[in-house]
Amino acid sequence: MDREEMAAQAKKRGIRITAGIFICLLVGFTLAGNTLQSLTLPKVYTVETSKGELVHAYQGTSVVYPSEVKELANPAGWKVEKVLVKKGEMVQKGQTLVEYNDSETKGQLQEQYSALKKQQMSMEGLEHNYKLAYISEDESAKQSAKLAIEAAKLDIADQKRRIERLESEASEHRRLSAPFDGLVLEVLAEEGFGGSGSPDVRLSNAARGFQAEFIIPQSLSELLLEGEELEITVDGEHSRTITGRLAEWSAINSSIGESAGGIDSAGGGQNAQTRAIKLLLDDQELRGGERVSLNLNRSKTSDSVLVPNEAIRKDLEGAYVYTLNEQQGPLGNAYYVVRVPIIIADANDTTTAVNSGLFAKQRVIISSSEPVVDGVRVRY
Amino acid sequence: MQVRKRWVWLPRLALSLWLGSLAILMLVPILLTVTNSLMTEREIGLNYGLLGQMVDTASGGKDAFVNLKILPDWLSLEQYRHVLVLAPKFLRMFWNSAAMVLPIIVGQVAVAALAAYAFAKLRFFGRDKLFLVYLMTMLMPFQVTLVPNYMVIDWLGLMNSEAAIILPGIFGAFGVFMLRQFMAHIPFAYTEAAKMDGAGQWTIFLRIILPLAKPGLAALVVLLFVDYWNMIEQPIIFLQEAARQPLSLYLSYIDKEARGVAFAASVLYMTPMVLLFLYAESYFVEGVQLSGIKG
Repeated sequence: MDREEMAAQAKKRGIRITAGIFICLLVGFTLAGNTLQSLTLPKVYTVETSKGELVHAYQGTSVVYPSEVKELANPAGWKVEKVLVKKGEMVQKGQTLVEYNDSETKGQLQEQYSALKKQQMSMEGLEHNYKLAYISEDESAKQSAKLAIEAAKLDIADQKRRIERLESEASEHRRLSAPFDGLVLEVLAEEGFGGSGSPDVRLSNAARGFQAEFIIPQSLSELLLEGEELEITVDGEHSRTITGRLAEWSAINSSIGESAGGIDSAGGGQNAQTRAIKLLLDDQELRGGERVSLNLNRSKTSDSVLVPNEAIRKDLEGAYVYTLNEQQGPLGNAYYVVRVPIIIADANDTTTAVNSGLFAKQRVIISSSEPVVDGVRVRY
Repeated sequence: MQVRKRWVWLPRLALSLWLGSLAILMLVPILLTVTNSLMTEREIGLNYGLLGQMVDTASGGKDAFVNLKILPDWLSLEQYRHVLVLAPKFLRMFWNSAAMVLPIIVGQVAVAALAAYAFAKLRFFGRDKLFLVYLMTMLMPFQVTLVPNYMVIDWLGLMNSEAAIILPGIFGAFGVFMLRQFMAHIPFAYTEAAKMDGAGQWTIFLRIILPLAKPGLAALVVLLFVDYWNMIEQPIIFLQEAARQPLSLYLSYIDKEARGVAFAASVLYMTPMVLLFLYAESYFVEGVQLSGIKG
């Protein structure tokens, strides 16, 4: 075999190998095509729908505060002599709360008493004049002395009334007393200081009870009735359950705040609409400031198909979900996305109740590695 | 003499340059196809994005040059992935082609070799006239025989089946013509000598003629493969069902949006032809030379 022929043989062998590889490659891709293709399909994640009750749940805490609060001011602006109550103390109607320094008024009274005494003494002088005029039978002198006595009598009566008024004022302004049975919420008065314009004592009215405010989701508030009695728990060492009457609810609020201490622990949607509700609490042991918690579970629909909110999609034609359609083939099963229109009955933060379009135990797509549309083949 | 000898290489160089540049010119499209098949779809779009918009400058088309880029910015097998993995159609059509072309080649070579032997080496009445009639069918273009072909295939109930392509292919006249020309060059002395030794026609055909006609057979295989691998009209007319169509129609499915995969598809499409040609190259050249047919 000469060199040329060997080179030709080598070339032919090379081509045979190349052709073999080429054919094997194509055969391989043909047979493994379905598997390879399915690897490039968008991966979808599904959940199974279930049948049941859609519960609107709320769990939150708030702080009890009195329904009526009265701010009691220093009546005359006198200096505070003695503070007789402390914050958190229960007081009876008429009980003295703060005593004030009345030394100034006492001085004034003393002066007024001295003036009265002077008037009474001058009265004696006038009576004596009258007696002399009577003895001397001087008619004109008698007349003028009589008039002077009358005038002095009027002066004395005036002075007595002035003293009376001052005395009653002094006794009234000397102390601050409770206008009703209640709880001292705050004591602002300080011994030795005069009135500063702010109230000296803040007192809650025990007869009007207490209240607590909670911020609950709008969807849940629709399921509550005014006047409905709700059970709330007073937290603390000896936690107990009391009832609160739903008194009023505020307008719909789009943002979740923390007003009135209501902390929405239900979490969920940040943009969920909320409402503040006020519960009236009638309980003898409440003092105000207690931490109370509310647990609410309400449902509107009893037997509907439940789907996670992530699975619900919406467009101009309405709400729909994507389910999977399984098609059996010779090289394995193929899954296709199917759009199913639904009618939403109710929804909470996490779950939606569907009235029509879905059955229980159906797989719905909640997310996918790439956006999918109706009819697309996917990997599941 | 000295001067003559010194300049004798000049015409040789000129010829080499001329032929070399011609070869490069011929190879550029293939080179372009192979290198562009390694570009990403995005790069293809950037280079050939103008192609669809240049149809008619009068009606808003652009008057510009298309950027022919030889080297890709970034080597990528993305196009091959698209063709081989994401589009099962390509492979389906590839095997369709193979399933049609292989029976045609085997059948036509078998039929043509026997017929050519008869026309070249047997003496019988009206041989040359019959051969002329046979040749006539070859001389007529496909379009002329289209209607009768269609009617016959419809009558045979072969419409929309591979047999509608394979059967007319097997009985094509080209193979007979080419092998007859080739066998005519085999001296009668070989067959005479075999006859003297008591060999029958079958023995002469199988033992003497076929081995000698090997280059011709190889050339025929290559030419038939190229011819039927590239067929367009027959499958378009006889195979309506897309799942049965051969690979030669695949490129027509590639539209403007999918031009990114056209190069890879083209490379895979021409690979069997190139491999076959390289394998049978020496026979092919010899066969074509001896039969006096230019491919």
